Amino acid sequence: MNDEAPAPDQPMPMPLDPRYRTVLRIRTAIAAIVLTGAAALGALVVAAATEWDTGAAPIAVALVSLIAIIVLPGRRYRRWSYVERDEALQVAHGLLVRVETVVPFGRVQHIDIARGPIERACGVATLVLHTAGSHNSVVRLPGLAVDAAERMRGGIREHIRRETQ
Amino acid sequence: MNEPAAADRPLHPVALLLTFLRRAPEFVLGIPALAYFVADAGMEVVVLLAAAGLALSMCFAWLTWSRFRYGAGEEEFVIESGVLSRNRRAIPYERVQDVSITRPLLARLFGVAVIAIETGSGDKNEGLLDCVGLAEAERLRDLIRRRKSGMRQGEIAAERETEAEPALFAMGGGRLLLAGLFNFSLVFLAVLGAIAQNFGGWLPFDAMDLVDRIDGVRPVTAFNPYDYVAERGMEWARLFPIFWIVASVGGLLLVGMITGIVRSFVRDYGFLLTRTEAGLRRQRGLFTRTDVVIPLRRVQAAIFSTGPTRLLFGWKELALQSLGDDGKEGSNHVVIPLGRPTECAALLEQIALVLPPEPAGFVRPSPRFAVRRAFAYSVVVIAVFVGSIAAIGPIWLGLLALGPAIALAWLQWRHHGHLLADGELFVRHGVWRQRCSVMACAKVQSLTIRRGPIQRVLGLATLIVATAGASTLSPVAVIDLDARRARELRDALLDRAHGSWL
Repeated sequence: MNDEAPAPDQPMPMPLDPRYRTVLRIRTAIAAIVLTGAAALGALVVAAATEWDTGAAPIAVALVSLIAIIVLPGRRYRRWSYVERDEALQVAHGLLVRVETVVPFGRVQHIDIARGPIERACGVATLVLHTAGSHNSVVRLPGLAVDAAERMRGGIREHIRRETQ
Repeated sequence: MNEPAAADRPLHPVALLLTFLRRAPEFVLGIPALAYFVADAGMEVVVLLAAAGLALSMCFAWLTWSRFRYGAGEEEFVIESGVLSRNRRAIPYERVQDVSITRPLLARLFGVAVIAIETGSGDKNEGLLDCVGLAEAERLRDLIRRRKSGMRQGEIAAERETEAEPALFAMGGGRLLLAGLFNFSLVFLAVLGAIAQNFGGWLPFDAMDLVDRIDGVRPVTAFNPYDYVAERGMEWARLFPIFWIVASVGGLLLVGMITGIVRSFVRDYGFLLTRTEAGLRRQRGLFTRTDVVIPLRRVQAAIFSTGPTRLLFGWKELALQSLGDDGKEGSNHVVIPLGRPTECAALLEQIALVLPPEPAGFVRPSPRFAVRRAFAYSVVVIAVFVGSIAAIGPIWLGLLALGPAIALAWLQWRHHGHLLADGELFVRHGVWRQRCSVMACAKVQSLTIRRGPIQRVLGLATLIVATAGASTLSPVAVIDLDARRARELRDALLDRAHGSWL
């Protein structure tokens, strides 16, 4: 769409580290396994309580999950992007509801770098910016290569230090 | 630096009396329950047991009271408490955000007050002194505020002399009465209705029974006002239906007005807003006097609101949104319950904000705002129609219901808008109760553009402007701008704010 294009004087949005796609895929797979398991359990219970043949239900759930594992991670990954502006970090994401948040560096209270087990295995990290706002006071930018996350944190911290002096 | 502050002052002894007065009713109410459990024993035993329980409870209260000490040191405020395990709490003056004095009705009768020292941590009771003498309360508040702003003993005395605390806004009886009229509310009726519904069986009389009694032996199940007046030969009462309607509507209005006036008086009696060196100080209340200081530094935005009648007569309500505890949801402090725009402007000057301009100057959202709303409301109307009306009525009746839905969407579009001035962003919304938020661009914490699936199809976007004090549920939002304009507005806001971040 036309209005998706950034203004010409803005820096180009950066994609996340491709390894984040794997993180998303593993997470989707875990959710799919849990969901399919629950569906199978539910089908067994219903089959035991009634005379219905419920064998198709878990199979359908498994098929939908499989499609989700194949299709969703790539799409969700492509929706994530970030722009390092002069004074602010801009993060965009969202498959159905597109959300684009700008956090001015001067408003950042503290910065976290978070790494869950899956992220650690894939070598990526999540940069978490905390502001004093009550809506969207925590802005997360996942799927950064560890050194890139460290670099960005350093840059923002440097910025805050300059401004408070 | 200095030796640790000594916690050497006890709470006012009246605290014990107040505790007694608060607890005694609980034990009296507990008597029936107690009677149930010790059914064999006589009533004397039960009362004796309750009295013993109360005495024991008061013993503990006395122990707690006697082991409670506070003191104001040079650097920090100290509270020592605990009967067996002692707890010493030190609150550094720099960390104090607010000192409020509350005087509930009972406390006022005995000339005491409750002091709450807030530091912005989650715990609400972090510095609660319940209770101290009124003079002591004011001394403590002044002392904490001045220590906080780094003044020493001599300066405090000097400051005390010169301080006049000019009144910024006060409410006299006339204004209060007017505010009460605008506060028109039928909540009272709803409460009565709920009581009748739930406790109707317990009332000493039945409403229908009462009518029955008035009317003699005649059953009133088919009460007909025509018969009623005809029997009594009141021929003039051919106008009875009109009279009946006028009387009921008038009665409702009267009840609503009285409710509004009573509520206004209870809440805002003796409303006084003064300027202190750190912020605005508000005192109000008929039974419970509250005394709150809103530090100016923590004010995030101003919110104007008017109802339809208030708007007609040119009155406004002004509230200030201040930063909550440590980024948590903030609170709105009403600083002018009912005021003229000039009064609001004078007050806003204190916090470096300005009055919102005329609504005509505001930028309306894209007309597709109305399309999206109308679509959403129509879905609801159709769902309701399919669910209920279709069973009893023809299709055109359902289509007729779409009219109001579309009209509402259009009205909401007309009343929503934003305006970006040099240093402020104004956002207005609301058809019935119109509100306008005024915020300084420098207070913006983050900016979010949000686009749902329908918004994307229509090329719309909502810009959410987060400040530190806004409620999580209703942040300031400019809804359904053209996507390109939403981006432009966001970038403009970023630019305005640039350089003003701290």
